[in-house]
Amino acid sequence: MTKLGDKDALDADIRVAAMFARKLTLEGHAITDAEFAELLRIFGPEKVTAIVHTVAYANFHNRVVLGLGAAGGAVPPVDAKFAPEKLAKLSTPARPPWDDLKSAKPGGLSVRVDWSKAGPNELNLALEKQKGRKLRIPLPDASRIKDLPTNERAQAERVVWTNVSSGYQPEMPRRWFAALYTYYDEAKVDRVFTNSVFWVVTRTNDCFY
Amino acid sequence: MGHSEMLLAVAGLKPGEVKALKERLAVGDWSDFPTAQRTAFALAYKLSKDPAGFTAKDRAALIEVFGPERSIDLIWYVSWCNYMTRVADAFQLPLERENCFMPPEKKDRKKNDGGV
Repeated sequence: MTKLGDKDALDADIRVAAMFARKLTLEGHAITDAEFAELLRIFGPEKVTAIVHTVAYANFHNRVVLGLGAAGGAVPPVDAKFAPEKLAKLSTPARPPWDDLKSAKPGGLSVRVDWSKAGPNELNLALEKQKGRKLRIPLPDASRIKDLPTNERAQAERVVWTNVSSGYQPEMPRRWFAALYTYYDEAKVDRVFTNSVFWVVTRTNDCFY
Repeated sequence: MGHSEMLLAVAGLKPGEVKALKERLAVGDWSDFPTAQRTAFALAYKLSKDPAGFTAKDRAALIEVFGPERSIDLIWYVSWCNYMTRVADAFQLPLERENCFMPPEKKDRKKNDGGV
């Protein structure tokens, strides 16, 4: 772990992966084709997909921890086993009806955003340009997609994100989307509300998504 | 459309409504939005841009508006969005030309409705 803070002490392949993880965390939009090609040359598409999803997960996890204000140092993993039949009986705390938020009193959070200068027209042009973007990683062989379960296969055939992720590392997106579907089931959010939040995240990260 | 805009369409907004919402969001001054939206957008901004800078005071303001369960829901969701953008940025995924999340039956209905 100490070595990770000193890039000169790392083996060459680990150094490339660590630098990539740092840049993907801090300014993923600025990663160059050459930087990605170097990672791909060293690790190949399966491992690169695993690296990308692991870094993405760390970005998710850190924000949950910091958002909740969880305090304390690292602790060893808990040796716990979960029985599916017991988990199925757990009830989710009820949320107030989403419409209640319409009567929220003044207060809450405000920010002054510090975004790149692009206006709506520039953003639209960037999205159009992204449609013609060359993928940095070869698409997985069609046989990998064909072997996926029906729902995953259908999504992989429509969505490039899923095609690459499920084609090279099927277990990682499978768990990830299982968590999302559980979230939707339990939180019962207003999808226009949450997808507006998603838009703000993409804009803040300068991501075309 | 980017994926977040495609998902707004799937959630029920018409193309003109997606465009209008995007233009309002893009201003970056959300003071004319209701308190809940303004607060959620500010959370999205802060937790994406500088997660370590999210303070106990920010958290208290979030909970004041949303209550504890929905505050956790929003923190989880903003964090989820940050995962998705990391994957998209890393691979520089080309955007699909059609709304890849729209169920086929809705697409057909749209065609019959003259594309509305």
